[in-house]
Amino acid sequence: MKMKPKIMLGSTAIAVIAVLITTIGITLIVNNLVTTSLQNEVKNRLILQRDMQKDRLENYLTRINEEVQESAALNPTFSKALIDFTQAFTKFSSQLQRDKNEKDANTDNNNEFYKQNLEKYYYQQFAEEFLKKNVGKKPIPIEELLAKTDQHTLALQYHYIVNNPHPINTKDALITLNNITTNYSYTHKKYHPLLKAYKEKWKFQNIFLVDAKTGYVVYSTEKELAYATSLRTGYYAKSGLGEAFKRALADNKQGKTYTTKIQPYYPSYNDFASFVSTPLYVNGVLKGVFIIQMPLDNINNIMTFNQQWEKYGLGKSGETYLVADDTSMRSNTRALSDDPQAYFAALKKSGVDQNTISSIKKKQSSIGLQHVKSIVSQSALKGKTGFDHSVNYLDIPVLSAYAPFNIQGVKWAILAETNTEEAFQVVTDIKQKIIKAAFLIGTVLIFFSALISFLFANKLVAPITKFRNIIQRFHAGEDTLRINATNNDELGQLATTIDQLLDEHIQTLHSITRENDALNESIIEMLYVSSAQSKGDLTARMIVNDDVTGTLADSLNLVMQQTGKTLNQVKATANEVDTAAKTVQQQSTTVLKAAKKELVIMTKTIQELNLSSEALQQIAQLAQQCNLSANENIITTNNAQKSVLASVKDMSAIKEEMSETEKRIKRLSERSQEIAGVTTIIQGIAERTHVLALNASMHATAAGDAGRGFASVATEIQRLAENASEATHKIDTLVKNIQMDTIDTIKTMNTAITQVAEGNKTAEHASSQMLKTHEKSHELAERVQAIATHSINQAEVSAELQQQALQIQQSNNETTQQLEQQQIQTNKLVTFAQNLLQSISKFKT
Amino acid sequence: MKKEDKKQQTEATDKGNMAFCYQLGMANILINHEIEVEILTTSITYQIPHSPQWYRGMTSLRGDILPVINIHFLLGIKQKHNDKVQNSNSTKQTLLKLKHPDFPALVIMIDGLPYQTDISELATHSMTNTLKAYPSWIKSSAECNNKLYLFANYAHLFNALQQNDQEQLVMPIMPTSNTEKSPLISQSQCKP
Repeated sequence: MKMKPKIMLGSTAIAVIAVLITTIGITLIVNNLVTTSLQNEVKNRLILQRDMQKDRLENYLTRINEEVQESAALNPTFSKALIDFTQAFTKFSSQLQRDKNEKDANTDNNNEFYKQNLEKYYYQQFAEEFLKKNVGKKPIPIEELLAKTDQHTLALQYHYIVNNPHPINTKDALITLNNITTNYSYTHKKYHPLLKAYKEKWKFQNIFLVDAKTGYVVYSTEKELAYATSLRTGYYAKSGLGEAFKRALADNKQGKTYTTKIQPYYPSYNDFASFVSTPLYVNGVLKGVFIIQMPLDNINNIMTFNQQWEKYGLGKSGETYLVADDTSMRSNTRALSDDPQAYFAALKKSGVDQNTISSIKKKQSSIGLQHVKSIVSQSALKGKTGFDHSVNYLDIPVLSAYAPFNIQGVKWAILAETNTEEAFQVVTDIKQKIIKAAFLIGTVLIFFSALISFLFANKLVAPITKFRNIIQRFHAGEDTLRINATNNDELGQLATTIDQLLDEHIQTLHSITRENDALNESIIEMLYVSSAQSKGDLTARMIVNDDVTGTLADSLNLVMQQTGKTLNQVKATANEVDTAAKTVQQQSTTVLKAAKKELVIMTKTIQELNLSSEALQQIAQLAQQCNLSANENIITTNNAQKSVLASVKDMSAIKEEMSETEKRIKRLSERSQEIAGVTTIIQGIAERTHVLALNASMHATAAGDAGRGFASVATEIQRLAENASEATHKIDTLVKNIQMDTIDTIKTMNTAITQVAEGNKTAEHASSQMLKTHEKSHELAERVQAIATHSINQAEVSAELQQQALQIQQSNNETTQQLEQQQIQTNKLVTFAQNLLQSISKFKT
Repeated sequence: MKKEDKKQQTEATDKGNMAFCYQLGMANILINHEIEVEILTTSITYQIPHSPQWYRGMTSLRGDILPVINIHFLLGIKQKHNDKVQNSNSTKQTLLKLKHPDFPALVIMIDGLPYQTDISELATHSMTNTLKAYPSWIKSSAECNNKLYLFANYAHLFNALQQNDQEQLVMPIMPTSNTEKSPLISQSQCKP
């Protein structure tokens, strides 16, 4: 790549990198700051909303409980109504018969008639309403409901539900029965408007008065199917209503309320219901239970802010909701109100069955139907409070503030959540804006950067291109071409320098050409003279010129002259050397023969000395080994003696220990004999107890039915005596076994003590023998040490002799080698002398 | 007694079908509900010279002097030797005080302690009153689970003792010596 694009690309790349780093850095910093800030803001907001909702709900539930408490304790209307309704309740069916005004009294009194009409009402009106709200479920067969009903239930349900002219769900509009003048209808007429007004004031779903003794629901404002049934024996005894009744009676504390779990309640078409109950006392005597059916809509309204989430700062996706310990919701989800279709699609996608979805659609409520199994809801149900990222019941990522909600026996989780996407939407927007702005600024910067780079590169590269062209043309042969720069910057100075270099180059080339021509002529002449000298004519002389070769030729002529003289002297000397070399060659041969003979003798001497030295060294080594062995023997003997002495000491200690152990075992044997004595006493007691129990049992039997209870006690005592007897028998057997084992052990220990004493004597004898061995070994070691010292001295003397002989042999070897070299050199000298004579004879001097 | 037997016994007691009986040799004599019974284990029997053979001696119970009857002799049953503790002129063994509402109390010597048994099972077995081999105060017998049960009329026994009626008291055929076995000892001969 050329310089111009390089400069352009480099400059542009620097600009792009700078823009990118700045953009990414700013984006990350802003993102981090805004995310942290937003998360803290959302966290604080959600925690605030959660705690606020918790407080509101607690206040509401507490207020209801207090109201129920105060109504039951302070308002005499309820206790009077309970007494009047209870008294009138059981008389209702019998008074109907006597009521001459009632039409077709005989038929009405017939339970079958009531049952048939109830069945008709049940399947035509109740079941229709039930199926609307419960898709995929069937109503309970009427036979099951009627199986536990009596004439009071049938009569009252017929007159106040079936024969009630008001449509279903508005049965509370009936105040009095036409043409029926029973005590119950009179009481109902008296109290129903008051109780209904009370119910509507507090927006309760239903009010019940229940007789404590029979469990009959003697009054209910709504006249649902639980009306007039017994909560002790009737079908709804195990419902939430029945539980509220039983719990109120269980503790029997005046002024205390009980709240049941929110669970499906069949008479309200399996809608979720919770009941608050409190015992009703009249003159300090428990007479009944006052129960209200809690208005769950109010709880839902509290939790959903009356569907005004945005007004309360929950944005477009935030919500607060309740989850029960069975993971189902206890308040509606916002998704159902905001976008039902999207909610149902999300439910289907998350695997919720179609029946549940249909039930939610029909009821327009997710209470009890939508299950929440998120980690945060589970944590809250386990009693933990906190804030975390999570996914909600529709698998959507959310920020969630959660806490347990335990009040009045209710165990729920309360959650305040908002979609993570919405919570961090501001961050996303800011991030996108930063990226867009950075892109625009970056593009402009890159454009200008590229433009400036282009102009700068053009300006920088143009003179360089001119220099290159001129140098190329100069190289092609245009010697007169110069740059001739006019500017005085670095490039102008460079151009002047290049012009000077070109001038000097031309001058140097001309000078070299001239000198080369003169030198060639002189060298050719010198070559001619050299040729003659090489042929042996040392008298030939070179012409001495003025140039560089003149000095050379003069020197070579002088050399030739001196060479001629020297060669004459060498010739004479070579003749003398030849004669002397031949004489030296003869003497060298004689000396070499003598040296070789001496070398053979010396080699033999060294071998013998070597053998002698090795033998002495072996003796010395053996002596040293003997000495070491003797020393080891002494140490081993010492150790063995110590071990034996220690063994003797240990065995004495063992003997004493064994004697002590024997005494203890004997004492143990005596103790076990005492145990045997005690077990005999216990056995006697057991036998006497057994006899006593038998006597008692026989007396009880003689007493007949009156003594049967006592007979059982006597039988138990008899068994205890038998067990005691068996136990003492076992203990006796164990004690006998212990005694036998003890005797065997004592015998074994006596034998062992005897063996230990004998072993002790043997060890002492071994110790004295080892002491003698130790003394003898010491003497032996000293003698061997003397032998070893002498042997080592002999070996050292022998080694010195051997060393000296080796040195002599080495000298002989070197002498022989020198003589052989000398002979070779002498031979060569003779040859060279002869060759020299022949060579010199060729020159003409 | 095994645990299972005890369980059955408890159930039977609850149902009111249990009765006590005591052992004499191989025979088990049932105790009627009308009889008041007490076991005496520490009492000593003092023999009386020149008394009848069925009269073993006298014993003391909480200050009362009671006669000790040799019921083994009456039924012709050999007494278990290992239960006998010889102590100069007295013996110490398991005694049973019997008290009928209409008669003074007496004491008999028995083999082992009394125990309860389910008499409803005995009722299912055949019973007979033709027990010519037994004294007349033994009214019937039954065999159940290889055990011989005798039903005694204690009023009859007490009355015969008061009257010292030898014919009523003892067996019709008495063994000639102690080595000769009573008909009661052999189970095979006593099946009802």
